[in-house]
Amino acid sequence: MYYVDNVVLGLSTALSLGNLLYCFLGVFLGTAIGVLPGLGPVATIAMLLPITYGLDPTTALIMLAGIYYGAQYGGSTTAILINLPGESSAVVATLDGHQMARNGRAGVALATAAIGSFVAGTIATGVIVLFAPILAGFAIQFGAAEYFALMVLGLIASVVLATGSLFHALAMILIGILLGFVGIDVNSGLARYSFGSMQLSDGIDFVVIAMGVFGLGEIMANIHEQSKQITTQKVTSLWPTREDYRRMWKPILRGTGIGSVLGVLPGGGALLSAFAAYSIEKRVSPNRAEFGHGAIEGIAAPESANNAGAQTSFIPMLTLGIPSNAVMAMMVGALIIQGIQPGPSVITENPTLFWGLIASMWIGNLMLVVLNLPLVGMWAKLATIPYYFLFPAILMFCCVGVFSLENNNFGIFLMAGFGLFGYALKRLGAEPAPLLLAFILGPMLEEYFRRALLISRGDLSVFVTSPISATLLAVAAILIVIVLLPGVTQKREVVFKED
Amino acid sequence: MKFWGDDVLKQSAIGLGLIYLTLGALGLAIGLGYPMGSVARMGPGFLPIVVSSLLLAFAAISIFKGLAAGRPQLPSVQLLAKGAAPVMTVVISVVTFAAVCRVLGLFPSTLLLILMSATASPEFALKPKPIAGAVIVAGTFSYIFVKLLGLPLPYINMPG
Repeated sequence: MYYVDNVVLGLSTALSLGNLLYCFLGVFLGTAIGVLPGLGPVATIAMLLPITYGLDPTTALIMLAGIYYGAQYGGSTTAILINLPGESSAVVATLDGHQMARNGRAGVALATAAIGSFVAGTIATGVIVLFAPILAGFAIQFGAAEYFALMVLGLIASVVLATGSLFHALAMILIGILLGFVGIDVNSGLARYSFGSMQLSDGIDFVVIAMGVFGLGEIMANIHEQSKQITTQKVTSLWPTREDYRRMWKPILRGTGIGSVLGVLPGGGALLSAFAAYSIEKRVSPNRAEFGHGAIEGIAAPESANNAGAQTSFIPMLTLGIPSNAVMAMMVGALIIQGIQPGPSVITENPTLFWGLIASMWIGNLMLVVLNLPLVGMWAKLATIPYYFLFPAILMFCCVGVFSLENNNFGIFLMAGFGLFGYALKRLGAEPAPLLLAFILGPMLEEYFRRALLISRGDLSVFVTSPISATLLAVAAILIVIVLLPGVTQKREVVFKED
Repeated sequence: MKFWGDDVLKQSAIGLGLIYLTLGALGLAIGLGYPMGSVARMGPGFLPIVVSSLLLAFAAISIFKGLAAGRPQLPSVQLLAKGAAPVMTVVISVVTFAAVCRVLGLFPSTLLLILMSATASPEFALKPKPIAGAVIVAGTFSYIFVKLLGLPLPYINMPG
C-alpha cells in the first residue's frame, strides 16, 4: 500500500498542469542547450537555475531534473547526426551511432537511442521507487559523526571513480571547502574571508562558481578552436526493422542494469555508465565484429545506460543529501536555496516533492521521446550554429543570470574571476568538478564535524567507535589505497583504453 | 584515475602547486586571525586553519614533485600563455558589462558584451551582418529580461 499511495501522490503532483508545463520547459531547454557543443549539463543548470527561484520547490526540482536528462539526450542526438557530442557522456554515441548515420541509418540510430533511453528511464524510475525509501529509512538514524563520515566517503568516492589525478582532485576538494568558508560562520556570527565586503559576508553563491568555472572557463578554453566543417546526415526512416528490435533488446536491458548500478555510486552517473556499458557490450555481444562500424548494440547499450545512470544518480542525492557528481551538487544547492535541508528527511517531510519528482522523471522521459524524434531536424540545425555566434550569447545569459541572483553586479565580477581560475585549471590539466562538490558539501561537512566533536567532548575517536561511521571512513581509505596500488590502476586503464 | 594523472598534469605540477600555495597561504594568514577554540568547542578559525594547512602541504608536494621531475617547467607558463589574448578579451568584456549595466542600461551593455567578446574569436569580423545580428539578439533578450521578466535594470539609459 505504501508504494501504491505514494506513486499515486507522485503522479497526481507531476500531472498537475503547472508541473507538466515546467517539466516540458525543462526537457525542451535542456535538449536545446544539450545539443549545443561546449556547454555541459552543469553550466546549463547553473544558467537556468535563477529561473526556478520563484517557483515552489517541487516544480523547481522537476524542471531542473528535466533540464538534466534533456541535456543528456540532446547531447547524443548531435553525436549521432553530426559526430559532435553535445556533452561528455555522449562521446560514446559517436562511436557506433554516427557510423550508423553514415550508413544511411541515422533515423534508426536515433530511434534506438530514444527507445533505449525510455526503457532505461522507466526501469530506473522503478529502481528509485523501490530502493530510495529503504536507503532513506536506514540513513535517518545517522548522527553527526555518521553524516560526516558519509560525506567524506561521498567526496572521496566521487573523485576515485572519475578520471584524472587523485592527488589534484583531493587538492580541488580542499580548495572547494576553503571557498565554502567564505561568509558568516553560523556558530560565531563572524564573517570569515569576507575582506570587509558586505556581499562576500553572505558567502559565495554556488551558481557564480558553477557558471564561472564551468561556463566561462569552458568558453575560454574552446574559443580559439576553429569551427568544424559539419555535414549533417540525412534522416530517412525512423523505424527499426524486426531484426533491429531482436538485436537491441538485450543490450538495452544490460545497459539499463549497468547504468542503474553505476548511477547510484558516488562519481558515477551518466558518463561512467555509458562508457562501462559500451565496453561490456563490446565483450559479450555476438556481433562484436561490427562494433565501431555501426552496430546497433553499440548505441542501444550506452544510451540506455547513460539515461539509467542519470536517473539513479538522484538516489543518493534525494535520500542521503550526498551528490554523486557535479550535476547532483547543483541539485543539492537548489534544494538548499528552496529552504529544504537535503537528507533522509526529505522523503518524509516533503513527500510531494520526492514522489512528484520521481513521477515527473518518467513523464519527462516520455516527453523526450515525443519531443525529440519529430524535432530531430531542428536540433541538428541548432548544433551547426558557429561558435563565435554562440559564446557571446552564452556570456549574455551567464551575466544576466548572475546579476539576477542578488540583483547586483558584484557576482558578475566574481564570476569573471572564477572563469579565469577555471580556465587556468583546465589548461593545467586539473579537473574542477570536485571543487564544486566540496564547495556545496563544505558547510555541511564543517557543521557535522563540529557537532560530532561537541557531543563527544572533543574526543576524535567518535568517528571510529560508531560502527557505521568507522565502516564508511574505512571504505574511503580503502578506495584511496586501491588507486595507490599500481596493478589495479593499470587494469582500469586497459578497460577504458579499448573504447 | 591515477594518483598523479597524465603527462600534462605532471608538467604542470609546479603551476598547480603555486595555485595551491597562494590559496593555502592566503587562507592560513587570514584564518590565524580567527578564534581557534578547542577541539570540543571549535572556534570559527579551527577548520580554516586545518584546511589551509593541508592545502599548503599539497602545494609543497606538488611543487616538489614538479621540481623532481627535472623537466623544464616552462610548459605551465606556455600552457597558460597560449590563447591568453582571447581569454583576456572574454574577461574584460564580462567585467565591462558588470561595470556599465546600471549606468547604460541592459540593451547597450549587452550589445557591448556581445560585440566585445565576439572579437575574441578569429572567425568574427566587424561587418554589417554580424553587427545587425548582435543588435537583434541584444535588443530582443534585453527586452524579455527587463520588460517581461522584470529584471531591475533600465532597458536603455539615454545620456543627459
